[in-house]
Amino acid sequence: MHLISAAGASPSLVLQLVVSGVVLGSFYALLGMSVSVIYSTTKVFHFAHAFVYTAAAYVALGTASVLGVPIVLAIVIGLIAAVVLGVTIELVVYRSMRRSGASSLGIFLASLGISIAGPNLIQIIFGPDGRNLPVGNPALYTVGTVTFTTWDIVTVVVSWALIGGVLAMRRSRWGLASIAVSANRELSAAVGISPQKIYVYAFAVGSLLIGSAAILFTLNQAATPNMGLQPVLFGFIATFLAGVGNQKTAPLAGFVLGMVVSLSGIWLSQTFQTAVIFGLLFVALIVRPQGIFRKAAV
Amino acid sequence: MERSENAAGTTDRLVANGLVCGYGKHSVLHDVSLTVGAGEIVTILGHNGAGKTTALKALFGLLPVQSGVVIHDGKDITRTSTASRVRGGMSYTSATSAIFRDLTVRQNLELGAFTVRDSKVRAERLARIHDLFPVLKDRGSAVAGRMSGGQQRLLSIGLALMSGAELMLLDEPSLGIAPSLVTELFESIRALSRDAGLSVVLVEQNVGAALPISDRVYYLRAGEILLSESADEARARDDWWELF
Repeated sequence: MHLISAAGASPSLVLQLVVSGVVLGSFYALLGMSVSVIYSTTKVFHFAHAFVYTAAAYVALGTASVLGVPIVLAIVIGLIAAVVLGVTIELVVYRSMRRSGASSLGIFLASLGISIAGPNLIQIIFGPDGRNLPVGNPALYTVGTVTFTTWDIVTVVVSWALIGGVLAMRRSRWGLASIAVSANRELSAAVGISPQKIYVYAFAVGSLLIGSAAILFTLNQAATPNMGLQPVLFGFIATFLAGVGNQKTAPLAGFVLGMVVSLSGIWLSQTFQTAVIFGLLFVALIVRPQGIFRKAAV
Repeated sequence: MERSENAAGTTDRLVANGLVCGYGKHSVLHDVSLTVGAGEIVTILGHNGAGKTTALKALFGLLPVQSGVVIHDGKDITRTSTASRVRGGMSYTSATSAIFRDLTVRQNLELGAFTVRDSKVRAERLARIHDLFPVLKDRGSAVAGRMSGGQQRLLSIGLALMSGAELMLLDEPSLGIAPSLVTELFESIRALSRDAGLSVVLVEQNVGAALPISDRVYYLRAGEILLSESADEARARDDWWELF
């Protein structure tokens, strides 16, 4: 395998990488939005998000392939499971820890614990091997020299539709309330917003998004018990690239991340993907710790 | 439920009796009792650390009360949530974070009326506040944290008014604004109380500015109310600090 490819990459390769970048970027944008919705509002390092991701995929493929439920219904059940799980973690674990005065480090460690124990549980039930969602093979389209599949189109459309939906909800009563809680928790309580309810709302929305991402992922690739860690990590990186608390730009940061990773394929082998992502985070945190975009009103 | 009468003969808007309250096991308020009538401005004076802010937070339900009662408009609200106190017509304006700095002026005012479901009522209140403080209309789309200190204070009052508050708890409204604006700000609080029957519990270091607009004064030391007297009596006194 070549590590550094020829400097003069062919135009068709570049074009293909741009298209892959759009697909990957849309997926990362969804991850960024999902993590940002939860983190900017609740300030919880919700690593157990990785378990929610994995659970959504396994519940969907479990109900479809083991119970024989129709695939669309199975996906809906998987998404519901994600929301229920995310909200349950907030209510049962985080809320009671907050009430007993646990530090944010303590809450983070509990979350990390769930993100390790959860996938282990899934491995005990389903085994360590990859499992596919029974969706069949997608149609392959070729435009000029560029190829893409039905699932690529689905990924792009679904990701941006969900992101658009969440951003549109910011104008609603609940959306405004969650912006307020993320901007100033104490004052939010003083104007009569219950931060507890907004936390539940943030976990429900964030879990729905991460569950959707997991389903989109398993359209293309096999689910494994440890599938959740990397996407959640990338979601956090997008959140930090965008500048913490800046929900509007988190998906944009995710998109840039996916695009850069894909285009780095012109010069670098795929094996360097993760290094590129962390390199980008490293540089951004030094050069622009407030986020890579110009700061605007929330 | 017990209803007490104040000097003006009207029912007290707020009655606190024997409040004990603190952070964790450490109690800050040992015995705080006070009353506020309709349209009355009551100022709590005391040193730093006397428990003035804690008292306001306890009255507003931001801190759980260990013992004692809080009665608002004749209803015992000691154990009710902050949100329901806001719906009941109470507001609290913090000394340090009284506005959403990252949001626009307009968003701030909208959030002030978060508990108001009726959009017509919200629009009416917004119009009234724009009349009172035209600068908040002119700078509606400005990011609140980028306005001057005085404008931010006006916004904090506007935010409280948007909730429909009839009882405002104001913590150090003069903090960080120019002395000339302090008088203006306090005059508009006085006007609101006179014209709209607004009741105010004021915590203020700037005694000179607070007394002229106050009806009554409470002296708080080490979590206990030492003395209560009319603002006129307090003004006549030139040895406030000897009380402490």
